[in-house]
Amino acid sequence: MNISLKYTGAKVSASDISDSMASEAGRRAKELGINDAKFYTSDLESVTGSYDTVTCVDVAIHYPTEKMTEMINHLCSLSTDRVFFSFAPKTWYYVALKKVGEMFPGPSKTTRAYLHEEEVVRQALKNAGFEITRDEMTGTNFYFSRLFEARRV
Amino acid sequence: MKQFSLLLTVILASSASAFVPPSQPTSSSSALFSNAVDDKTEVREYFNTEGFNRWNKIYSESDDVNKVQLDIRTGHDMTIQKILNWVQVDGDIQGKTVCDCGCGVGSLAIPLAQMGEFFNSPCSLRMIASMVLGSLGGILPGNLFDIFDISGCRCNIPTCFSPFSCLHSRNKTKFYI
Repeated sequence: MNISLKYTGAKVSASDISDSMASEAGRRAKELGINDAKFYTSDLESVTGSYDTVTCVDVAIHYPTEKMTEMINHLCSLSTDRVFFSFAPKTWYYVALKKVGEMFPGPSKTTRAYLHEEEVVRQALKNAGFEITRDEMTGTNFYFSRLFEARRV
Repeated sequence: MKQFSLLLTVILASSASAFVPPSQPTSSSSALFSNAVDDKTEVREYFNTEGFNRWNKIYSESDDVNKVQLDIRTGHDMTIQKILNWVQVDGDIQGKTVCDCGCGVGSLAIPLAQMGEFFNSPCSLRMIASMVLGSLGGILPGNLFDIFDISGCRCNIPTCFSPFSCLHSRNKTKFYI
């Protein structure tokens, strides 16, 4: 008897602003035998549809402060139930560390990095009709990420 | 302060950091007035070129990363794992629709698509077969595992008790009974 297993996890639709990234994600998924997940190229604002859960993890560091509320509102509008959202929190320590990092640019350059006020994120989720149900903070030496799970009220 | 000095030392010794400045030399004041379109263009270009090569390595098992990049990999993995743990505790992700915005190389999207795999995976079947046969006779036939084509299963039986440790054996596997 020949049994071919299929994955039975979430029905995933995933996008990235970078075509290279989205293609690589699709390649990795296929390599692992996932054939029903969708990977495509799109910036965040152009994503449409209605989903049980919307995730946006470690992306907000590329988003300028003044765009945060609008961005969170859009993410929430795509979700019927839950949102996972993470961001680098703007605390005095991380602001200082960022400044120190900027003083010593190495040969490797990257994009601008934006830290965000936790209160702004909380307020944006609330205004979009969501309440925070779980939260976490992950910090290593060079990685800082505040994580919220929010559910539609 | 000692910790801060240590961080400074590491930054100086490293060629990359999560917080290094933009590819175009800009002062902090001009960054304040940058608009979202410029940011978006910059992010898109970066992650289609140099940034793709760098982050594709960071978000993989590649050894070709420096200490800072390794630290970022570890941190990012921790965040992903926390989400997966929440989802696992809730236990109702199967069949639900998920939209992952900014998926990168799929480090969250892929395990979410795989969740529920555990009870169907060759790893868990091997474990269950061992337990059942062991309880029946106490002795496992030496060729038991030859019955299954388990080439896609790289983890050993004890680690299979954790659903997520099974996630690295992600090949859609055909096996024979």
